[in-house]
Formats: sequence, structure tokens, C-alpha cells
Amino acid sequence: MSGRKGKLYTTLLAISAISGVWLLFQQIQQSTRGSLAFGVCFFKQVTGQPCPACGTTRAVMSLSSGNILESLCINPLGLVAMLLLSIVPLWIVADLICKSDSFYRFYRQAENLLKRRYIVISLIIIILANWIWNITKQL
Amino acid sequence: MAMNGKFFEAHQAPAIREQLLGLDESKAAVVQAISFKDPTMILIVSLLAGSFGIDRFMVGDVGLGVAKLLTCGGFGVWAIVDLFLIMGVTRQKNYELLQQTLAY
Repeated sequence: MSGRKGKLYTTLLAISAISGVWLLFQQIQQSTRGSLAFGVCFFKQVTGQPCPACGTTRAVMSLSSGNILESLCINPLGLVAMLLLSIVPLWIVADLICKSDSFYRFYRQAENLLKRRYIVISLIIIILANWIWNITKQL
Repeated sequence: MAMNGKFFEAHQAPAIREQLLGLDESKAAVVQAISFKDPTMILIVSLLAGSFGIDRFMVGDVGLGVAKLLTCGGFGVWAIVDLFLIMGVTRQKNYELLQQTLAY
């Protein structure tokens, strides 16, 4: 595996693994104690207000019980996270097995696409809107 | 070079100096015009908005920035780790940008 591709794959697999463990941990917490464990948001600790990603864990948990609507109402980013978490690790592993770099090429193209001005501005507006919604919901 | 030294890693400086000395007029002008990212500025961004992945977006790591945002700064851990990593990453990206420009 070449340097940059290797680093990227390793990093993304590590992030996926840690996220998976986190979700599993929360799932166990929920079934034994009925509620989620500590929040990890640094922003919330300091300001008391939710951040754009607030509620993502809860949203993903909702999704895994099949409640798509509820999940979207908690935080739409949960759906995004769930999709990425399902697809990215599997794709990377498939690449590793088939010794291809299809994901790496896709990743590079996606990065270039996301750098375009109108995309950047749209995404920023969407994230800000979601953040404001989070605050109004007092997550 | 004196002006732009801080944008690059120390061990890269001699090699860059060599390259700059060998440049012709037109190339030199292009190089002068490149806007590099200031590692210190990015560090400040990382301190203030690290959990939102904004520091990663600014150095061009869009994918990692998204991952960082979705996980709230990697559950806080990544945000802290990046405080140490981000200046080096910025300098490396600056170097790559310089090399890319020189290659044309």
C-alpha cells in the first residue's frame, strides 16, 4: 500500500472502529440502564449549548431500531453518519482484499468536489441551519 | 525565504532554498503569489473550533474534516490530538503546494 493511501485507509478504519465501539457501548448502556452515557461534546461543556453534531449518537441509535423519522428529527447528521459508517469501512476492506484503490480515487474526487465554492457555501448553510435547529430543540 | 520560513518544516528549508535559487523570473513571480497557510493561525482555529473540524477543512483535508464534525471532534479526543498534529500538517500541505507549483 502506498503511503498516502495507506495512511488514509488506516485513519478511516480507525475512526470507523472507534465510532463502532462507541455506538456499541451506548447500545449496551441503553439496554442496561435505559439512558445514554456521558456526552462528549467539549463545546457543550463550555457553553451549555448543543453543537451541530449534538444528538448524532441518539439519532444513529434510533435508526438502528428502525425509526427513520425519529432519527431525522433528532439530528439528520445521524443518517449521514450511519451511511458513511456502513459504506466506508466495507469499501476500504473490499479494496484491501481486491488490491484496488477504487475508494481512494473516489475519496480524492469527492474532496475536489467538496472544495468547490458553491458546494462549500451550501454545506456551511446546511450545517448552520441544523445547528440552529439543535439549539431550538435544546438537545 | 526569510519571509516564508515559518510556513515549512525546518528540515525542508535547505531543499526549498536550493529550488528557489534555481528559479527563473516568471516562476519566481508565481511562487511569490502563492498564499500559504499560517500554521499558528490554523492552531488557533483548532483551539477554538477543533470540534467542528474547521481546522482540517482549512488545511484541505475535507474528508477528515467531515469525519471530525460528525463525531464532534472524534469524541473530543481527536480534537486534542490535532492540537499537536495540525501545525505539522499545515507545514506539510504548504510544502506540497509549493512542490506542485514548481512542477508546472
